[in-house]
Amino acid sequence: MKISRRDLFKFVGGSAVGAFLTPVPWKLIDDAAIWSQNWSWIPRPLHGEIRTKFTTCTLCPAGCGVRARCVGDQPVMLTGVVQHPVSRGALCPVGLGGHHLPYHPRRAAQPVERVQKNGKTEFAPVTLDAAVAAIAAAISDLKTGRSGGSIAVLDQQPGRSISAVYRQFLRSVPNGVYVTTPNSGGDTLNTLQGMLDKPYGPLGYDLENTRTILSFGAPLLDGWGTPGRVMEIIKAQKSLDPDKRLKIIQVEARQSRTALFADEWVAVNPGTEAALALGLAHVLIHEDLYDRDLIRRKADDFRKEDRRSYFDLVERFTPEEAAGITGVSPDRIIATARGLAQRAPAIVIGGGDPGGGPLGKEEETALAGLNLLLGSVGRVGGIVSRRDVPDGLIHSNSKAAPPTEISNVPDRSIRVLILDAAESGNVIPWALLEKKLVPQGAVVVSLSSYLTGLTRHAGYIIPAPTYLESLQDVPAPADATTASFSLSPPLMAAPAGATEPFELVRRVANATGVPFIEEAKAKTFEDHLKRRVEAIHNSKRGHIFNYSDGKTVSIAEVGSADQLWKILSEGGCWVDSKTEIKPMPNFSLLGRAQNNFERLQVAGQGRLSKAPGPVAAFGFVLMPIGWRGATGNGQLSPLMTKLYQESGLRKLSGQAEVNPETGKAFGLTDGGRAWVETEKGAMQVEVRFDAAVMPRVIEVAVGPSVEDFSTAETPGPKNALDLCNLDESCTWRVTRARVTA
Amino acid sequence: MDTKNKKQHRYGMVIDLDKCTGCGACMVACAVENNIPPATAKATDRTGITWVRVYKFDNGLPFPQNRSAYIPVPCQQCGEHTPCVSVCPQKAVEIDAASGIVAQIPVRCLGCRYCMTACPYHTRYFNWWDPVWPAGMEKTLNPDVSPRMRGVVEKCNFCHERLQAARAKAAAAGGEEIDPKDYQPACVEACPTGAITFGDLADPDSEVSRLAQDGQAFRMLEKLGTEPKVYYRSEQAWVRQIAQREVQKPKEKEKVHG
Repeated sequence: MKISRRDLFKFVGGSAVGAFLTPVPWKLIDDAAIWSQNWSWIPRPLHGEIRTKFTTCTLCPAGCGVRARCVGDQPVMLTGVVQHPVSRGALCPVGLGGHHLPYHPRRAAQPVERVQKNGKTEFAPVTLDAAVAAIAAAISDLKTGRSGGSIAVLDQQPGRSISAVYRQFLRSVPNGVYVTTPNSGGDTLNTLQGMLDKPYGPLGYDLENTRTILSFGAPLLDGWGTPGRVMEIIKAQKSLDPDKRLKIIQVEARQSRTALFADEWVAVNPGTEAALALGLAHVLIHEDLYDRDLIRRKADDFRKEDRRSYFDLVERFTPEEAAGITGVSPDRIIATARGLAQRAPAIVIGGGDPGGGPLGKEEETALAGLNLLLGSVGRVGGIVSRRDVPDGLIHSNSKAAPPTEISNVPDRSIRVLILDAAESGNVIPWALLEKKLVPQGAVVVSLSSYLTGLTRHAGYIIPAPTYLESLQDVPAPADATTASFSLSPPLMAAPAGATEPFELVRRVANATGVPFIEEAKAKTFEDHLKRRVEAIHNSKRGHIFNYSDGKTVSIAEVGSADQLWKILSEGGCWVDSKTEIKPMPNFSLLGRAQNNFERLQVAGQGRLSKAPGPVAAFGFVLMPIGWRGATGNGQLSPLMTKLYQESGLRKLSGQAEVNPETGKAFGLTDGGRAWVETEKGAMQVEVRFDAAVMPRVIEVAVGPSVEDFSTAETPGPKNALDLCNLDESCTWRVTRARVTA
Repeated sequence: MDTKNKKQHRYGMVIDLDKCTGCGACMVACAVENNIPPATAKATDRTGITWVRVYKFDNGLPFPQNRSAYIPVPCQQCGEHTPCVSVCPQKAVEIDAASGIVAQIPVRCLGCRYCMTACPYHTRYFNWWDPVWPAGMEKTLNPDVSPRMRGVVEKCNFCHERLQAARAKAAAAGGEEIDPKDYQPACVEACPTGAITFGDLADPDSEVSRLAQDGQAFRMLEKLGTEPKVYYRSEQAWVRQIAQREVQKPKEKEKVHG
């Protein structure tokens, strides 16, 4: 048979077509698919012995119990500890990704110095000795009088053992100032303490027994206080009789997550919270809905002849007057006030939006006054005092610098500012710290491990070991009604370039010739911590909960301080025993400052009443918004891009929302870009229309930005906080703005 | 594992939308558990990978009557006429008869994305990029789940590896049935409000069955007849109406994204 060229082509073509009727090509494709799953650059998970370890989260002051699933010594998953007496099993999204933080691209693994290079700011490596010498030189100049100012340490999680080290060090240096910021959940409580005649506290909210919470912007359901505790209370509500259920009233200009889930949302005009609080007080007094006998016995400024008393202040804020300022109807103000009295015990919680714009001092004073008027302090279901954690470290303030809240530090007074790495979860604008620094020659040192947030402005960065890398202690969160204490034992090794803050303080003290008390008592930070644990053991108070077996035993059953240390360092939490509620001391309803009457009077008119510029020229109110715990100085897991970037569930820096009607009236488009301009500057934002936003308000997210997750470059884009007016009360909650397409 | 003569399960979940605060813990926990990489700088809501995605939607009323709610949307685990199974040319999507879980098998996937087109719930995600973690962070990967590569589709599988682990534990103890407490997906475990109840819908005594029969429970796009095993519930009528919304056009979808 003769085979032609044509036959050959027919055979090949027929074979090719026929092959498609066999499994061969499909098998080849299948194999190729399988083979191509195994490129060498596709990461492979670690394999090894699976272990469970326990620690405590230190990313904010809540101190949630953490169960870590580890491959060998490497944590691969963090979850909450279900029976934990403080956090009750919860762990927020920030905590769930905590084990990623040591590997963040923004991590500083060794000391760096801020330098200007070709007109750009960069961070260049520097030795620890050189950084310590620079700090010591600045302190020596202060000691010798060559320069003026103070030395300050900013501690956002006061009450820890390292806090005691800072305070003792600052007592030893000239003009040492130990600076704190209001903790989430503690803002109103701190203000309240300042209104009492005698030390009474620390204070906490008895949320489990209260019937009504009037929250002024506090993100109760979005990271406030100890989130697990709040969630546990909310979860338990449905099983209660309707009469016994907790009622949450959220007073807030924006439809926050808490406003959405509150029983009532009272949408007030931005910056008018003080007017509403004083209006509510007016109704309570005029309808005789307060404990007249208690106020007569305890309050020293309820009524006074000089007509500058609480009564005189409140008298001006009739429901009609307050309605005109707040935008809330007089009937609703009256009904809310009556509800507070009828559904007692009631607690008034302030704070505002700690992730974006917290309330000012005057608002907090008005809210603390409302708590006192309602008789909510020193009673079950109200605000109660708790015992402090046995200290063992600071026995008197004569040996330690007292805490000074940042707003009370004089402007232009700090020469050397050391930023501790711990986070309160609250946002702090750099402008707030900058105004406290001397105008020339200030030295700012950050102990943060991440080149982000406030650290971007530091001259030196001496990175401390980050979360999961060092031994820390965790005292009771601000909202707690009983003291607690746990350790955060490290789960992994710190990099060689990281420096423990204890070691840094010791080195600076040695370099400056300052007698450092702690060094004589404790060679290492662990020794220092052990003294505190010993004090707890010696107190014989409370119980110890062991994470690993879920059992709780009385502290009296723990044989020695060493045994207690062992339990705590393997994951354990000490909780104080319940005590009788102490009788409340006398108080001032206006606060102790002489000019509070006038300040509250002005604040009662609304924060925008004295803002510069005509309303018509600006047209909008800028409200910075943020998520507590995610907009501060700390770093977030790159996996948080799921929330910020890939789903839009949370807002990235520069994303703004306006009411659709307002947006259209000002020529804006949904999804378009716009310029937001205030007295402080301008920035471009991406606008979204959302009917949940109050008309004439533009809500601009504080952050983070996409770059914060993915690149090591440090200078970030302009932030909403840069546009805000920082007023005398250290609040930046509302600012007039012009918005143009 | 041989599943013959064993009890047939039908795992599902009920998500209480009145409890979901939109915190996003489920999304992060899911990504940690399933080795889903962080977004690249270019990733958007259309190209990112979030096996369970929480959407915000509202009642459409103006301020101040406007109210929003959050809805976590994982793979709905269709029980009948499963669209993704029907269209996959590679048999890369299978329904596990023993558990009722719709499983995606990445090694078989060719990346044709027919399944993504077919899925009425938009719960399937394509790997547009190679999975990349910041240097060192690959050490934190879950050893029980293989990372997928560029060019394949993936989706929620109710943390199937946890079911395998629970089965192994039961087998080691000499039993055949798992303890329900041993099998909870990562999102369920992480939800701080307890909004997600997970369990066996085939077990009439289970909590999840009880909630699914609740008069306030509903499923997404029930009229399609896909019999999803993810139920939602809410006491608010306007929230329940979300179930009947059609697939939205891009502009409407953006609004829902909030």
